[in-house]
This record gives sequence, C-alpha cells and structure tokens, in this order.
Amino acid sequence: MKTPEQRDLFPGALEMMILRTLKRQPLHGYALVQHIKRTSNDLLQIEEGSLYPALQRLLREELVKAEWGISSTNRRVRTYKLTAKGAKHLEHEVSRFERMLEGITRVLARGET
Amino acid sequence: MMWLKQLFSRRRLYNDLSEEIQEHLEEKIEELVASGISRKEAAATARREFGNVTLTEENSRAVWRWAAMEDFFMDVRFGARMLRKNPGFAAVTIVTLAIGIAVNTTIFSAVNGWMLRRPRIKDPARVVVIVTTDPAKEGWGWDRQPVSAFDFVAGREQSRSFEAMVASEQQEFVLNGEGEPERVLGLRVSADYFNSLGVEAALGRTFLSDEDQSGRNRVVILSNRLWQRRFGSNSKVMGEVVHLNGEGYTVIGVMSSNYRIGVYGGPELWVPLVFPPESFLPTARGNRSLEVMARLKSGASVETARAEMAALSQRSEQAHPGTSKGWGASAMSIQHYIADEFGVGMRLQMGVALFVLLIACVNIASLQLARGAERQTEFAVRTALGAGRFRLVRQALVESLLIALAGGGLGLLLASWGVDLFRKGLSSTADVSSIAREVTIDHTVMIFTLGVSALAAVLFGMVPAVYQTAPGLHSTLKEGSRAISQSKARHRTQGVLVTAEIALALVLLIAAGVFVQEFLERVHTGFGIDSNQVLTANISLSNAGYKDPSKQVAFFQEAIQRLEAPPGVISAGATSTLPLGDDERTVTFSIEGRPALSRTERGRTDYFAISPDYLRTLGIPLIRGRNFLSSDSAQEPPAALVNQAFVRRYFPNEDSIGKRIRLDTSGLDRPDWSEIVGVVGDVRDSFDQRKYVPQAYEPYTQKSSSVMTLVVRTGSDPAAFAPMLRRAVWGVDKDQPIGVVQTMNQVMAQSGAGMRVANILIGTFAGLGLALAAVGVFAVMAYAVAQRTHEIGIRMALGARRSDVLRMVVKKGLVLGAVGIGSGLALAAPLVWLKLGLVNDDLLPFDQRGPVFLAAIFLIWLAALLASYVPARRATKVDPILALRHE
Repeated sequence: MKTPEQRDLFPGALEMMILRTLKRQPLHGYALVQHIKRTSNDLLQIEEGSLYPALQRLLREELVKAEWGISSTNRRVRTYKLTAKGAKHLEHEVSRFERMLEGITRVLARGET
Repeated sequence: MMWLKQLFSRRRLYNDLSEEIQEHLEEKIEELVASGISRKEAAATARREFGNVTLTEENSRAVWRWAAMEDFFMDVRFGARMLRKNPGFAAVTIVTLAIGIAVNTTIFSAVNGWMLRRPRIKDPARVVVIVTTDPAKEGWGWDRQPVSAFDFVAGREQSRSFEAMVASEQQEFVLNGEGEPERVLGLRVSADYFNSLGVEAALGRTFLSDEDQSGRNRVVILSNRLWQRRFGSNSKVMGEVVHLNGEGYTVIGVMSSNYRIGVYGGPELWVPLVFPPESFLPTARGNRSLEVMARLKSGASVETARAEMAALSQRSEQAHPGTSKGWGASAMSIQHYIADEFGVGMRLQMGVALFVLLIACVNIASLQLARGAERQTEFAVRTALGAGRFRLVRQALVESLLIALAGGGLGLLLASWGVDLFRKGLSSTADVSSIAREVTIDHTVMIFTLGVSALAAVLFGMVPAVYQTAPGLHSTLKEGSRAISQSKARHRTQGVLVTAEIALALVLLIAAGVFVQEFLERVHTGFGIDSNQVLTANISLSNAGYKDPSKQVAFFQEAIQRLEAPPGVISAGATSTLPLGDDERTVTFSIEGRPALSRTERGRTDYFAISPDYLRTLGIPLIRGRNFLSSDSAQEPPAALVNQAFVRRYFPNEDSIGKRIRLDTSGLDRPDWSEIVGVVGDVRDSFDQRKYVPQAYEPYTQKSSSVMTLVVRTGSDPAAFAPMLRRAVWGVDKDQPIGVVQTMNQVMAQSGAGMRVANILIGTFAGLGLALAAVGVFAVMAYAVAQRTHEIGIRMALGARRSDVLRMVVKKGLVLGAVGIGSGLALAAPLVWLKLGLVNDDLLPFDQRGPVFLAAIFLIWLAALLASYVPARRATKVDPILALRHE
C-alpha cells in the first residue's frame, strides 16, 4: 500500500522529469532511476514502483518509444527515447510548470512580508 | 484504433515489461555486489528497495488496459471458476435465490399488469375519475360510489378544473339477428366520451356531439371482439342496422382491439348516453350509476380538482337539503383509481413475496459466511500478495452477482411457470380470464427481475464480502484454518443472521395466517343455502316487448311452469338477485308506526323479488309464518318476507310477523305498505361477506323484475339439465337470450375464486419462507457442530454424556429461535390491526387472531428445534478417539 511520502510531488511531475532526462540522452529504466537520483543530489528518490507505470503511460501516449539493445555494461536493456511528440509535450509541460512555480513562489513571497 | 492494436499486442507488451523489470533487479543486485555485499544479501536489499514486484508489474500493465472493465471480467471469470469448483454451494444458493426471485417476479407481473400499466388513452396522466363518497363507509376505497346524473350534470356545468367531463353507464343489451339471440355488455357513454379521452375508432368514427339527443342516438360502435365474433370482421357492417333490445341501431364504428380502460374485459359495444328528464330531479340524486371521468385543464392538478369537487358537492347539499346527506365528491387520477382496485391485497402479496426473498438472502449470506473459512485464507493470501481491500470486496460482490444473475434467470423461468398457474387459477369466467390475461412477463417485469437480482446480490453479498476481506491477515495466516473458522465475530454474525431469518419467517407466517384465517372463516361460515343439485340461468328481458311489468311476470311464470314439468326436476323458482352470483341489491325501507325519516336516515336491507318456490329450491328454511303463495298476486295486499338478521336488527323485542314495512325499490315512496308474513333463514350475499345482514323478500308477482335468475333443483346431476332449461325458456320466447347456465356450486366456487388464488399464493409463500428459514437454521447449526467436533470429542472424553451434548447444541438453536421470535413478534405486531383490503366487512377480533400468532410461533419454534436437533444428533455420534486423533 502506498504511503503519502511515496506519492508524486504532483501529478505529472515524474513524467516530466523522465521526459526531460530522456531529452538529453536515451536511457533504460535502471539508468533513469540512477540519473534522476544523481542529478537531484539525492533529493528525489524515484520509486521503481512508480517509474514503470509512468514509463508505460508515456509509451501508451507515444511520447517515448522503447527498443531492446545492449548497454555499455553489456546487459540486455530496454532503452527509452523521446519522440517528436514527447519533445513537444515536454516543452508544453515545462512552461506550464514554470508558470505554476512562479505563481506559487509569488504567493509564498507575499506571505513572508 | 490504437486500443485495438494494444489489445492484440498486449502479450508482447507484458512480456517486455516482465523482462525489463527482471533486468532492472539484476542490474541493481550486481551493482550492490560490486559495492561489496554478498550476493544473497544484495538480492534481498534490491528486492526490498524495489518494493512489490508483482504489484509494480500489475500497476504497469494496468496502464494498457481498459482497467475497470477488464478487472470486472477477470472477477467474473474467477467467480465463475469458484462456483464451478463448489457445485454444491452454487446449486444451493442459486436455487434458494431463484425461489425468492420467482415469488417476487410472479407477484410483480400481476402488479405490473394490473396497477402499473397505463390506460390506453391519450395522456392518461391528465385524466381523473370522479366519484361520490359514501359517508357511511370509510377509507380503503370502500366509500367510493358512482355518480348520479344530477350531480354529473351539475359538476360538468359548474366546475372549472376540467376541459371536459364525460360519463358512462353499463347496460346489458340483447343482440338479435342471425343465430341465437345473445346478451352483450354495453356501455352508454356521453357523446364526447371518446373525443375527450383522445381515442379514435379503428374503423368508421366515434360519436358526434349531438348524438346524445333523443332521436339521433340510435347509433352504435362495436368492440373489435364483437365485430369479429358476430360480424366476421366484415367492414360492410358499417352503416347497417343491428337490433339491440328490439330497437334498430346504425353501426358507425369499430374500436381497435387494444382499446381498453382498466383491466376488466370491457364492454362489447358503445351507444350514446341519453338521460331521461326525471333523472335531473333533486330526488334522483340518490340514483348513482355513472362512472365519470374528466380531463384536467392545463394548470389544474388532481388536488385542485379534488378540492373543487368537494366544494361543489357541499354547495349542492345546501341547495338541495336532504337529498344526499353527508355524501361528498372526490377526484383521483385514473391510474390511481385502477390501481386501487387491487390496492391492499396486491401490496400485501408483494410484501410477503419480499419477505421470502429477504429470507433467501439471509440464507445465502449465512451460507457464504460458513464457507468463509477457506475463503478467508484465500483472501488473506491475496492480500499478502498486494490486493487492496476494495479489490477483494469487489471480487466477493462479483461472485455474489453471478449467483444472483443465475438465480434471477432460474427465477424468471420458475416465475413464467408461476404466472401460468396464476392465470389458470383465475379462469372461472370470461371477465376474470380477461383480467388474468393482463398478467404477463413483459420487459418491465424483466427489468424488475434484473433489478431485484442485483439488489439481492448486494444484500446477501455485502456482509460476507466485508467479513471475509477484513484485515488481520497475519492472525489468519498464522492460526490455521480451523482456528479462524471459530472466530467469535463470525459466530456472532451468523447468530444475528439466523435470528433475523427466524424473525422474518415469523412475520411471514403470521401475515399469511391472518390472511388464511379470514379466508377459512368465510369458507366455514354457512352460506345459508343448499347448493347441491341446483342449476341456475340468468335471464334478462330487455326486448322492447317486455316493458310492461305484467308481461315480465307472465314470462317468468310460464318459464317456471315449463321448468317444473320434466321428470327429475324437484322444484323451480326465480330470483331478481342470486346470492353469491350477483352483486347484492340494497334498498332503504320504513317501518309502519315508527317516526318517518328521510331516505338517507332510513334502515337498509338487501332486497330480493322471488317466486314462491325459490326458497324451497335453494333450501332456504322458513323459520316462522308462511311462504309466498301463488295467490300473492298483484291484486292482493302486498306481502314481504324478512330474514332472521332483519328481525334481530329491527324487531329485537317484538314479533315481526304482521308488521308492515315499505321498501324503497324506486325513486318515489310507494303508497302502500307490505305486510311481513314470514321469517326465513339468513343467506350470505357473497363470499367476501362473513356476517349475515338484513334481507327482505317480495313476491315477483307484486314487484316484477325484468332480470331474474332461474333456479332448478334436480334429482340428479344438475348440469345435465341445461339443454332442458334452454328448451323451456325458448319454448316461451325463441328470441330470448339466456345468460351463463351453471350449477349453484359453480357460482359459489367463482364467488371465492379470487380470494382462493390469493390465499394459495400467500400460503405457498409462507411455506417457502418457513422452509428456507428452517434450512438456514439447519445449515448454521450443522456447520457449528462440524466445527466443534474436536471440542465435543474432548467433552465426551472427559465424561460428558450424549444427552449433555445433545442439550448443548439444541439449546443454542433454541436460544437463537427465542431471540428471533422476540424480534419477529415486534415486527409482526401491526398485523393485529391489519385491515385486509379484500374484506369489506368487520375484522376478526384479536382474541381470534391471537391463536394465529401462537400457531405461527409454535411452528417456528418447532422448525428451529428440528433444524438444530438433527445436527445435534450427529454431534452425539462423535467418536472421541477419532475426534481427538484428528489433531
């Protein structure tokens, strides 16, 4: 059963981070987890339990595509790659997120003074 | 179309996913191993960090699915598998439920056919029925009476709530022409009757607005049935003249076969209604014979119409004091009016049927609980594997739904058989059959069945579903199956269910008992006649040639003479009203020498005009005085006979013979008084009537009647005399139609037919309810004993005797029974005061209903005792050695 801490920050956050990461370079599941963890300075822990459903959702929406291949460590891995549609979606989501963040920041700043 | 592609590539998707997750784990493990932990430890850590692999996989797969639907189908497949694995359980629950549903569907098809189906007229919701209300009767619709012509015309002119108000009146017509003369039921209707109801003729036209004028009113509309039967569906009949009561009417139209108001057979023809001038005299306000309907104006509602009619009738009473004291008027929607015909009786039946279903549901719920031991382990395992509570409850409910649908399907089958029986039970006369024909399983009934099945699934599925999936899986998995099954909570729930079942069954038994008791009272109260070997035939002299009273008397005199002649006939007579066969005719009367009263304040008595040999023929005893003689002719002083109830009520302390009374058989008071010449035995008017009421007789030679029933007492099988009877009547007049010829025993059987069917139904329901409840108690007790085998073994090893064990088990059953009976009595208490809708009579007092309660309690108690005794006997057969070795 899920506990509150394990939930996403907000709906769509995980997907957005995955898309952003994949924009830089195609990655497989395990590498994705590691990358996000590293990039966020261990601030964000990606649950595998949420990652795989999220990846399936992105696949379904055709925002990413997957291919079996061999990794640098010589493992058989399924690598995810951003599609054109995914890139567009990411752009849209990021700008939406930034607007939202700006709004939140303003409200919080006002609250302090 | 993507979802379609997904549907087919699903397996590959899922395989990819599984492999991917496996690889992910492997990579994680390898990384951990690389950081210097042992492989075993690394595997454990990786798994712990990853979380529930199966659940993750499931959640990931869920993305690809039309989740809710697919889960549901999976639940259905799984549920079906579970039921197949437990055929015994499946069979018992499905059959139990099917019984409950069949009972409900059967009754509902009657409710649907009689009370819910809309009348086949335009916008029936805007049509109201207007009735006069009788101050002497109260409530339950018994106070509703037809309307007099006087009040109808006043209402039509003065009311503002209606677009139109129309009246109709039933009348029998003799149809002459080719073939035998025939008596048909006709309806005389206002000229704008069909227009106002928004009904068109299937062929030809309906009445024109001026066709209720005398001289223009010789037009007739035929029913489809009559048109087919008598005129071979020939459209050339239009414009032809047919002879009704010896007068010519031009056929102007044929109604469609599906036109009908209400559920009764309906008339075979319609003619315009013309009021004779004397019906508009205020004194004629008491002649109530019209059924009045009205269409509401836009803006008016049934309530405003009712208020207006009540106000109008008050005003009318002030304007014409003494004409209809205390009588009011009311309006109700036509649907309501029709439904009320069946009101209380059907509601009671429906309630009883519902109780049977409830008992069936409780039974299944407790069966499911008993089976819960194995299921609880199963559910616990599934919870451990990550299934949510909601999922499990849904799974359990889907299983219940499967049982419910199977039970509903089987129930529908049983119900179609039940409806058949129901219709067979109601087939005594054409009228009754036509009512019975309305009882069908149509789509409304099917939807009802489906709804009831689904509701039942929730009813019997919810408690076990919640129980079985209750958290606390650790204890469940630890304890092992037997320990769980003995969990206290489950026992308590089962106890509650059994108690509820007993309570429901008790209420059912008491309701049925009260109902059946009223019925048996009526069967066993004497009818006051000897009905064996009597043949009856109704004769209605409506031909124009019989207008003159002396002609009527002459006809019946000659007919009776001809009937008496053949060998084998013991006696023959005639009566204007046949007890049990016709509706009683009630008249007011005055007693000479007592204060004069207005009509509404006078006493009331049943009235019969009879031939001298009528009493002898029906075996009605003469108590005192003399019978009518053939010398009591129109020229002699009027004579009358009264029954014992009449004497008890009106001459309690004096000799009635020689007293003179005046019976109000017409609108005007008679000039002469009739002398009471004798007292005769009491006769019941109808099956529904339990008590004897005052009755008065006059000789038909002095008070002629155009409608009489011939009665013939024969020395052998009366039915064989029917041809003789026809010959005798046609010997007097070959154009005279003869109504139904039947034996008096047939007349009596019909009189109680409706009530008999109702009683058979309710008795069957109560029996089913009792049986289901007994099975329920038995199942729970048997289960409890089976669970306690071990404990009983120990007790016996420690020296308990068989009788101790027996007492222990039976006691539990009886305690549950006692609690059930207690709560059942609380529920059944209102039944003491229940007024049965089909009984227009006094209720049996409580001291007579009491025994019914006691009998029901005794039966339930006996059922509980038996249901626990059998398992208890089994418990005493427990071999301690075997029971203990079991461990």
